[in-house]
This record gives sequence, C-alpha cells and structure tokens, in this order.
Amino acid sequence: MDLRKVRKLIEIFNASKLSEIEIREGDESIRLTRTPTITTVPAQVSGVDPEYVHVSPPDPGELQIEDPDEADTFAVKSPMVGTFFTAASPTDPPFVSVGDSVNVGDPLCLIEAMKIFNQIEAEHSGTIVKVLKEDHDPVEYGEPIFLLRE
Amino acid sequence: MIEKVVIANRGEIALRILRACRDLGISTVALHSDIDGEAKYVKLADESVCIGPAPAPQSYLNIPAVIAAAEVTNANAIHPGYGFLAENSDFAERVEQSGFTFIGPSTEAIRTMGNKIEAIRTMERVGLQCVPGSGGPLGDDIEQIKAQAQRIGYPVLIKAAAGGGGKGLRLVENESQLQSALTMSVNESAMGFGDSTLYLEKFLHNPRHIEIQVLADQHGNAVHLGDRDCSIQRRRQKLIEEAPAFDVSKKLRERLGQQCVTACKELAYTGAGTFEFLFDGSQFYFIEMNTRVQVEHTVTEMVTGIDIVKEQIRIAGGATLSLKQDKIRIDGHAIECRINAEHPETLMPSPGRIVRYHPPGGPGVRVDSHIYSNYEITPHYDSLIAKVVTHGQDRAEAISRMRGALEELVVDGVETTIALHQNVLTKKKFQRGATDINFLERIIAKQTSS
Repeated sequence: MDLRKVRKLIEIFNASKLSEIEIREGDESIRLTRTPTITTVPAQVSGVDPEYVHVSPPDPGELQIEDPDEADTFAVKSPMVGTFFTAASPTDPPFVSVGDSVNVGDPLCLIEAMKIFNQIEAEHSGTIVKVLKEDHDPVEYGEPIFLLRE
Repeated sequence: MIEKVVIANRGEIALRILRACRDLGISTVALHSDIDGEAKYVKLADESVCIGPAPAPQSYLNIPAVIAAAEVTNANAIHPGYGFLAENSDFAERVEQSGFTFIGPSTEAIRTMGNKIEAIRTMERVGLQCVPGSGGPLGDDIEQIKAQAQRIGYPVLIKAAAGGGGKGLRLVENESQLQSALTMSVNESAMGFGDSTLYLEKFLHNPRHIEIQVLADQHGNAVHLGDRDCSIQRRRQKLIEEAPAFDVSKKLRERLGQQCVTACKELAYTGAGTFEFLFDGSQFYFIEMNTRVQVEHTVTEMVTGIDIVKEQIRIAGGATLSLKQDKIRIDGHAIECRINAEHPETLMPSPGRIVRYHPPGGPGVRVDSHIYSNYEITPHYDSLIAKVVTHGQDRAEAISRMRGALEELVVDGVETTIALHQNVLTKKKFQRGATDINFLERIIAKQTSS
C-alpha cells in the first residue's frame, strides 16, 4: 500500500470522530484504531503484506508506520523527475522483480524525462523487497522507488 | 486554452503566479527543490513536484527536470517568473518544442534582447535614444578602441554584450586605464557568459533609472502602463521602486511610452516586458529590455489597477489584449520596498529561521511574501523575503503609509533591510523625490564612515 495513501488516510481519520476505521484494497487491508496509549495495532491481515500502524493520540500528526517485512531495508530514490518504467520496452520482462538480488551497477528501471529514457542502476547490492512504483507512474526527485535489503 | 500552469520558480513570485492562476480558474503545479518541499506556498498549489536537490543548477535551473515535471503532470503551460530560467531563450525554445506554452515572449525576442548590442541596434532602429557608445562590438585593435573612447568622451564603461549582474563591467576614467580594463573585462565576460564580446558606452554621472512597463498580445496590439522609478539601488540591485516616476512630465512619459509600444510592434514582442532607461533630467537613454515580469511590477499594478501576471497568462493563451491605451489611467502613487534577509548596513545575506512574522495592513498596503513564522530561509537562493507595497493618492501619502507599514512589520530571527528602508524614507532628499542611482550608495558610505 502506498505510504502516501496511508498518510492521507491517517489525516482523514484524525480529522474524524471515528474510533476505528478499516479499509480493504485487493489483498491488502489497513485498520486504524484510536487508543489512549501508544500501541501497535496489527492490521487485519487477509493478504501477504500486513501493515502495522502506531496510533498515538497526544500527537496524531506524528504517526509511525512500520512493516516487519520492511525492517532493515533501504530505499532506492529516484534521481530525477519523470515517468517510471519497469522494463526496457513493453514486450521486455522487467529489469528486476521482488526477490531478485542485484549488484552495484545492475539496471533497476527506466525513468523517462523529456523523451529520454534514463537507466537507473543499483548503487548498492541487495535483494529487492518491494517495487514501490508501477509502469507509467510519475516520480519526483528523491521519491523512493524500490526497497532493498542488504 | 491554458488549463494547467507549471510554476517554474519559488518564493514570492511563485505565490504571485499561483494567485493569478487561481483568479483565472487555472490549476497550478508548484515545482520545488527538496529543501522547499515543506513551504506553505508549495502546499497551496493543486499539485507539486520535487524536481531536484537544493542547489539551483540541479533544480530550478534544470531544464530537463522542469519539462519532465510538466510532462508527468499533463500541464500545458510553464510560467518562469523572474530570475532562474525566465530569460533563457534555450529554455523557452525547449518548452515550445516539447509542446507546452511558454508564458513569455518568443524565443527570438528573448534572444535578441539578451544580447545587449543586438538590443541597442534594434532600439536605435525604432528611434529610441541609446547611451552614446561604440554602437557595436569592439575589435582587437587597441588604437581603434582608443579612438572610439576618445570620440565618446571619458569616463566610459566597458560592457559585455552577453552581460548581466555587473560581470565584465568596467569604468574607465582615462586612456591609461583602458588596456588593463579591457583585458579584465574580456576574461570576466568569457568566464561568465562564454562570450567575450564587449562594447563601450558613455558613463553617465548621476542619472535616474526609469523604466516603462509594456504588454503586447499575439495579434499586434501593445500598450504601455506608464513608468517606474527604480533609482534606489545598491550594487545595481533595486531596493525601492515607485510609480509613476516623480517629476517626469505627462507629455514626456506619454512620448516615451509610445516609443516603447512602437518598439514592441516592430519586434513582434508578446507578453509583459520592461524597457529600462537612464534619465539625465532631460533625455532618456535606453539601456536594456527585460523580457519577463519584474519584481517591481506591483507598483504599476497599484496605480493602474491592472493585474500584469494575469495579463501575461491571458496573452500566452492567445487572448486579445482587452486594454486600450486611452483607458489606462495612472491613479495616485505607489512605492515598493524589497525586504531582504540581509544585514541593513553591510547587506550581507542572513539566512536562518524566522521566529516571528507579522505583516502590516490597513488602507493602501499590499504585502507579497511567501514567509511565515518558522519559515527557514536557506542560503541557496536570493534573499528577497517580502515586498511591501503602499499606495496613496499622492507620493507623500504613499511614503507616509510605507513608514507606517514598516513600523508594523515584524520579522524576527534574521537580519533584514527594514532599517535601511526606514532610513531612506526619512531622508529629506528622498522625500523631495527624483534621487539618482548613486543616492543609496552615498547614504551607506556615510553610515559606514561615521
């Protein structure tokens, strides 16, 4: 689930008078609960990708999002603004998929800016944990596009 | 039809463009570097795109990033504001080639006016008086250059054709200084602009800086919005501007304005633009044209009631200019003080966090500013933090309102030029009006020597 969506959801939740909200999207689901103490609320998991949300009422603006699957990971950030592509062409397989190991210099994706396709290469070796963008998604400078684990 | 505008700038002018778009019902995309991402004016835009890291060459001056941002947001026009890419003809060309509307004049007009020698030749052709000078690029023959300087009469200025920001500029008092000044100017100009073409101009001792604002559409219509006096400058940086220019007769202003309108038509100029002149009390000498909206456009807006930024966007969208010259009235007087985050005496930049900000208000007071309490001024960009503009029925009332506004204004946490402005406003000579471009330097010199 897109972190920005989660953040937006938390904003809506905080502005509401609801004590609990649960949202399902495909095989992912997220539940936010308002409790007086800092607790870890396990999301109602129906898929493979559980998300945990800390809800701390005294400072609802500062919510932390943790995912045990994302522990010890690092993000590959987009070096430029443009359009994200997972493969060299629509008929080619993606450069990388979840579970693949990559070495320094391996191509990860393409970012198109001004009709030029820029190949983005791994700067650190690791295993792909998550591909955060889909084909044709716009990406900003500095936006995380992959999660890797060393 | 322009429906979504990319604002390729930052700070107060980004907010100014956003406000104009909002009035016109046009969506906005704020571009920002990573360090500006949390700024409130960015959040006001319908969308925002981070285009690069803090250093301007990698973000606000990064042409592919700006155009890519327009592509990913499906915008159809780009407003460059002032500074950064606003007068970069290569940028304008690439914007158009990529299928977007550049909110500004044509690539050719920017290119012609960007070369000072070309600009002077063009203006002479349409009958505008230029500062007496070499009338063209200097050759390699020192004897010939000496003869040219002799003909113009010392002191002379050496200027770079690609000039700007004082680079390549040298004052030469007499012939013995000519050779070494030329060598330095050639080097500076080659380093700064990659072009070492120089020309000579007569040095005017204590002129005033007066400029004419124009608007021209794509259908051959052009109007002028009167003049502005921007003589209060430091190191060629304007600090206080006013409209109309004091003590310039209506007849003289009208004639100069008409010449600028003629020049626009001759050039097939489109959009907003400013013709800058030096005025020696009787004669206006053209020095250069700015092919963009200027910082001080606000004072003209206050006395004419015309929204220059909205007009720019309408013109770029192909609209016919709805303004008629004989309907444009100059009402009262307006003054702008540029509040910079700089030490009021040394004018050294003072980046840091603004801990408290309170803007002034009341009748005839306008503040264009992107700052707020807790805003962090970074050392990466220019130091302009607010433009305080006052309007009165006459100059005295505008000055009086400005003095009140500056007293109300609170900017704590960084050094600002507020005290310097207050100092200028109390000077009898300023209050009388018609001060020359060296007036502020003289005040500062007196301050530092005492």
